[in-house]
Amino acid sequence: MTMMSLSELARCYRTSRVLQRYLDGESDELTATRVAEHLKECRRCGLQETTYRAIKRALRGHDVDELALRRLRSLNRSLAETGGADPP
Amino acid sequence: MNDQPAVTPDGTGRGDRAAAFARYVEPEIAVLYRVALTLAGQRADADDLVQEALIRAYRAVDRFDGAHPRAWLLTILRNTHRNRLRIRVASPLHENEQDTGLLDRSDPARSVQLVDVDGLTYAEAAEALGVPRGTVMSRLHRARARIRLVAAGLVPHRSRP
Repeated sequence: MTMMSLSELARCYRTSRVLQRYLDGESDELTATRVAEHLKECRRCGLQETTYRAIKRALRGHDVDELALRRLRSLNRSLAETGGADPP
Repeated sequence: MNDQPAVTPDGTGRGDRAAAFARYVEPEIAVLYRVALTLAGQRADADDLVQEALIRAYRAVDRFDGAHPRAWLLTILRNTHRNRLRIRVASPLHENEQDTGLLDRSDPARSVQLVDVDGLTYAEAAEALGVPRGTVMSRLHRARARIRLVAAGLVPHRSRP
């Protein structure tokens, strides 16, 4: 087992602090580049990335009730057409 | 923010208002409904919540400047949700229920749901919950770390009471 240098540990620590922001597409360009480079070379952080990507994939999206959406779109159109007035 | 109401040749401003409403609101209805499901928890409540928010948005669209319609609508949805909860909590019909928890916005699972399930950005989730963006970030971090540990079998799953 190889010992990690202090600078490697520091890079891992910095990556772990911003990893989720990076995966959510919410980090700035410079940070994103640094994280991507570190993930390519660090197995430990790479595993964390894989896990969080899997969690995000598993949670992503859910079916919404199409009928409810149609009803709401229809209400929206009727508001726009009638100005929200009560029917006669 | 433009506070001047739009006025059409018929003097009502209805035409411009209808056009603005269709332009800004129609594309966001699916997102609003997803977020309403997260906030309200039940389909029937989410339906009512979005309907009420749409009516409020229609009344306010004259004062909307056209920038960031999703954020504007999420704020309306959140305020509508809070008002509905306040009324509900104050109702004698609910005095014996655990409704005090309904106003709780601190549940980290909601941040996960809004970002990972409903697809909102951090800023949009913050708007929907009425908390700072940094709060959404830290809650997400904590909640996902916990999901990771639960998935790895390192901590037991804690179900809601």
